Amino acid sequence: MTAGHTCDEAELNGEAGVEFSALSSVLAQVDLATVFPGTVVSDTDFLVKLRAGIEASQGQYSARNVFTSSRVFAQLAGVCIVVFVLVMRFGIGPAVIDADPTLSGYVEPELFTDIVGYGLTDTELEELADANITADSIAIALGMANIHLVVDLTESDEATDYEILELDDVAIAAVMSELESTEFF
Amino acid sequence: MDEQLMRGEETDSELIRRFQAGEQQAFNLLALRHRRAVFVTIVGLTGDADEAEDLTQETFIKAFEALGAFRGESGFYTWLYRIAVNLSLNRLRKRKVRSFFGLEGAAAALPADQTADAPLELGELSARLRAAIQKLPVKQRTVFILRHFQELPHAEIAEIMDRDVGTIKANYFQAVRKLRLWLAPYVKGDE
Repeated sequence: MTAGHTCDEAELNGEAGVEFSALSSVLAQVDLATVFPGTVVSDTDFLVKLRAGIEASQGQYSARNVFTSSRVFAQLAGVCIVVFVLVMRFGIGPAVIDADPTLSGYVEPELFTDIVGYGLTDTELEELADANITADSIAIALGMANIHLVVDLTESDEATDYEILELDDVAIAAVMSELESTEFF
Repeated sequence: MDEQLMRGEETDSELIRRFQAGEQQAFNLLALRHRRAVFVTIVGLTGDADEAEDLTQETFIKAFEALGAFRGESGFYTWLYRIAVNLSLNRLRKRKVRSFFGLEGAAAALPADQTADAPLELGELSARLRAAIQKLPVKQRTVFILRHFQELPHAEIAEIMDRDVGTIKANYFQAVRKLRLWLAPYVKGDE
């Protein structure tokens, strides 16, 4: 397997085609095996380890079945308790969950949309992303609004690629209000 | 090992049928046939050969467990890559939780003093290309590896990643643009 795949990059657009053409001349010099050195495990060892892994997994699967029911009940009970506490404390819905307290530092715009993108318009997202807001700032603003979100650490490349949780309009308005009242805009 | 199995004359579909008929040895050939491509994909995503070994094994364990119910609605390797990519992304996610900016370490591996003045040895070029690929955002990295190194069509990558084809093309475009930027000294030399 070698690098240097020539493909229908022109279908992306003209600029990309030119860029790929130039880049491919570099990539074509490099064998895939040197870019990502291959496994050193022999086929025989690989199959032996795989068989052992499968057998171990099947053993765990049997054990898992015994506990599945009780685990599901425990999880459901836990979720109910969390929702109850949140509703009683903040008066808002189950999408409001604790933020990651360890989160700090600059957030890439695309990741930022994952964090506060819930229910916001694309324009609002772009404004927020352009502001280079730090995660700490977000956490503070959200905390001031008594809003705590699950931080989705899934890396996202598209502004529209954020998970939409169902924050109600009051909660969204509270978040926006807090953000707008700070220096972030 | 069964020599007939190892001749590689049978298609993936035939081997899957044999496996589903109870011949578990047929899985061995499927695993051997695809293990290197799966490994390369995973190591490209994770940047860690040891981790890739583990995840490759985990990929095939999951495939073994689920192959009985495989209906062939997508190609076997598409299905297999989907398992591998999902496992890799999960691992990267866990890594990121442990160290929020963990990927910056990989980015820092790209030599800062790169210049176009001196021709690079292939080994050095490989290292810089590897570092540049690792520096890509994970989705762009995934698309680039599947597209460029595994030569999968956009439609199959979209199926593997559960995305629209347009999104895949956009990711690929961004990946190529960034790689060109980061590898500019070497690209310029060829223009």
